[in-house]
Parts: sequence; C-alpha cells; structure tokens
Amino acid sequence: MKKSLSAQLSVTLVSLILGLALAAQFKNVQRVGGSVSLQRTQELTRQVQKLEQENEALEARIEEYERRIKEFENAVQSEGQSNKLIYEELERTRMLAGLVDVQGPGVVVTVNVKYVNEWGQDAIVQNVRYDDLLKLVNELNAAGAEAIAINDERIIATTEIRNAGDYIVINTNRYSAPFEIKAIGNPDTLEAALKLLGGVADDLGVYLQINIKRVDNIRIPKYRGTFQYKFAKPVQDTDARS
Amino acid sequence: MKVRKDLLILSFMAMLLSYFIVKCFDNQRIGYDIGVTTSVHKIQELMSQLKALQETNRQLKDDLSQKEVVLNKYEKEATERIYRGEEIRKQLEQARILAGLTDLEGPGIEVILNDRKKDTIMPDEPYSISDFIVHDIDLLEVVNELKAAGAEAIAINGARILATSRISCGGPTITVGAGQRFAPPFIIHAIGDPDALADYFKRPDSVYHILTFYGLEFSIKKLDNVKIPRYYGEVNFDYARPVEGGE
Repeated sequence: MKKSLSAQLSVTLVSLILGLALAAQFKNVQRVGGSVSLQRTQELTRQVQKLEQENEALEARIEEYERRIKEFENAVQSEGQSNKLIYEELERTRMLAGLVDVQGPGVVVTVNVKYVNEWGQDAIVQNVRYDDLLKLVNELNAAGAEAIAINDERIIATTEIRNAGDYIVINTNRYSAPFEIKAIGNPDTLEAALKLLGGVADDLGVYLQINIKRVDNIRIPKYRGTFQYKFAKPVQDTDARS
Repeated sequence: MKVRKDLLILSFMAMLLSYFIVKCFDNQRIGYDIGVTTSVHKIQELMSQLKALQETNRQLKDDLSQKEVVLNKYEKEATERIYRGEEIRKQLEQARILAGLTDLEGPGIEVILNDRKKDTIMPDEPYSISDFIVHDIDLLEVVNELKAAGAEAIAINGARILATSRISCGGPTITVGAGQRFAPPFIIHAIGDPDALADYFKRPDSVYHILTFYGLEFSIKKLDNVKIPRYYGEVNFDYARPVEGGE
C-alpha cells in the first residue's frame, strides 16, 4: 500500500506539471494567433476604409461629369450656350490651378518677430522660420481654405516654403518678416481653426507675433511664375491606371 | 491492475486541475484573446467586403473613363466651333494638369516612411515613443522638400497633393487631402528629376537626418517611371470667385 501511495503521489506531481506545460503551450499558440489576426484585421480594415473613401469620391466625380454632359447636350441647340460651358470650365480649372486672381471672404494673418527687453535693449526672440508658415498654411487648408497667398505669392500644388539664409523662399522668390498670409474661405472656420486652444496660433504665439483678422473681401493674386513640366506627362493609356 | 486504473484517473484529474488553474488566472488578464474567437469570422467578413469594394471601385473607374470620353468629345466639338477653339482646348488641358485633375507619369522617386520597428527600440533609450513614429509634420516636411527639389506632382499613398491639400494628424492615422486617412507606412511618389529629388534629402538641413537619427524607416528609391493618379475628390468653390476683369 505504501508503494502504491508514493507512486500515486509522483504520478500526480508529474501530471500537474504536464498540465501546466500544456496550458502554457496553448496560451502561447493562442497569443501568436491572436496578434497576427489582429494585425491582419487592422490591415484589412484600413484597406476597406481607403476604398470606401475612394469610391465615394469617384461617385461624386461621376455625378459631376454626368451633370456636365447633360449641360452640353442641352446646349446643343444654341452655340452660345456650349461656348459658355467651355469658358466656365476653363475658368474653374484655372481657378483650381491658381492661374486666376480670386476674391472672397476670409482671413488675413500677419506673422512678425517678437521683441523682448533684454539688458535694456530690444532683442528678437526668434526669426520666422519656414515651418511656422508651413504649419499655418496647412492649418488653413485643413479648415477649408480655397485659395492662399503669402506676401501675395499664391500657394499652388508645387509651392515650396524653405529657409535660405535669413530669407524664406516661396515659389523661388525670397521674403523676410513681416509675413502676410491671405486665405479665402469661411472666415469663422478659418479663424477658429487657428485660434483653437493649444492650436497653431497659441504654439507660434510663444515666440512670434501672430495677428488674425477676418475680412469680408480679400483679393488673392494668381501664380506669377512659369510652369515647366519637363518630366511629368499625362498618362495616355487609361487601362494602365491603377 | 487496480493501482494502474487509480493512477490513470488521478493523473488525468491532476492534469485537468492544473490546466484549469492556469486558465482561471489567465481569464483575469484581459486583452490577448479578444480577437481570437471572432477574428476568423471578422477576417472573412472584411475580405468579402474588400472584394466587393474592389469590384465597385473598378466599375466606378470604368464608368468615369467612359463619361470622360463623352465629355472630351463634347468639349472638342464645342471648341471646334469657337474662334481659336483649339488653343482654348489646349489651355484647358494644361490647366487640368496644373490643377491635379490628370493622371501623370514620368521619372521620379519613391519615398517610404515608416515608424521605427518595435524590436529595435532598447528599453533604456533616452527618447519617448513619440520620437519614433511618423507625425503629420514629418510628412509635411518631406512633401515640402520634394516641392523645393522641383517635384512636378506628388502623391501620398495614392492621394494626389493639391495646392489646398492638408496633412493633419488624427490619432494613429494621418489625413491627406480631402479626408483620406492613412496609417503608416506612408508611400510618397514624386515625379521630377530623380537625382535632384533624391539628393535633396542629403542636404544638411533635410528632415531626413532627423528622422533617420531616431531610427525611423526612410527609404528613397529612384524610379524610371512613376504613375501619379489625379485627385479624385470634389472640387468646389463656395467662397472664392474670380476677380472680374482681373489682370
């Protein structure tokens, strides 16, 4: 009987350890499976979201094309009408490209250096840097600005804002403080986006003078530079579009 | 024989017991197995959803290009009747390219930006996690440098950059343009002189040096041909109008 008891004890012990090991093993397998499938789920969700957004945009664009096709069809009878459509489309596209002077309500933001009194002398806290302007432009775009210019230099798709010594280069032209940023859009939204608590105006206001003024009507000039597309060509083969 | 049967039952029970003990402790910790039971379902569901969306996307693009053919025909007919119409049509084409409404292709580069890989971060690193992830401002800087280097067209993850594009942060994702949200990696394509574009990141004031210092992935590849899609979103002016007789 004594022998049997010790055998039972040792078997119990071994089985206990085996069970623990088994549980640990299962757990590991599950954990690996779990994180992999979580990643996969996230990746798939991302792709689904992206396609949903793209399809929505495509539908809007198709609707717009349909409307314009209909307008052309209605205009077939009168030559003047179809001419008007062409000119309107040209005007709208040129507006988008920044090739037309535009006007409308919006905000004017002035950015200047701040002075502090140091040892009885006025000293500049910090120069205006390119990224200060970059952040302001980006924030205005996020708030729905339809046209922006810095010191009357129209911001277009290829506009760079870079430091070059003491200057800031915009559309390859040099500027220095003070800067005046004009933006056309909903004045309330534009102002609110900049003045958001802890927003860009607060951030930059620490070391710069930022002034935001709403205006009923501002005028933003067209892009004055030249365009040279040396490398980019329109894609001819529409099937190859991905 | 009797002993053996005892041992068998006993060992079985002991194994079961210890297994459940572990299970019991384990259930108190939440987290790891949330997705496990549902994930297979979820993945299948997402896959079929994705497939349907891809099909719709293909159809929509077909539809769009068909409509475009019709529209181009009408525009051509209309301009043929106008005095100097051909010139106007060329202007329209050029303005569309500038406005980002045309698919473009040409030589250029591909830049891939990604968060620092988790397993390369040492526990005693003197920086915070925030230094190791791609921020909206980083993308803004990269795009700005590409523009300065003479890029003629830029897209982030296939979203064309326009004059009015914003790049802003929304938690773990970054919004590009009119509301396309992306998570890393960010794949930026630019058309332009591949050497000029790639070399710009070698300048001492380039954001490249900052990001790679913190171990972020920043790869640059020169390409003979890059395709950059048009902007697909809506383009409306609610506030801005052309200046009458403006010159």
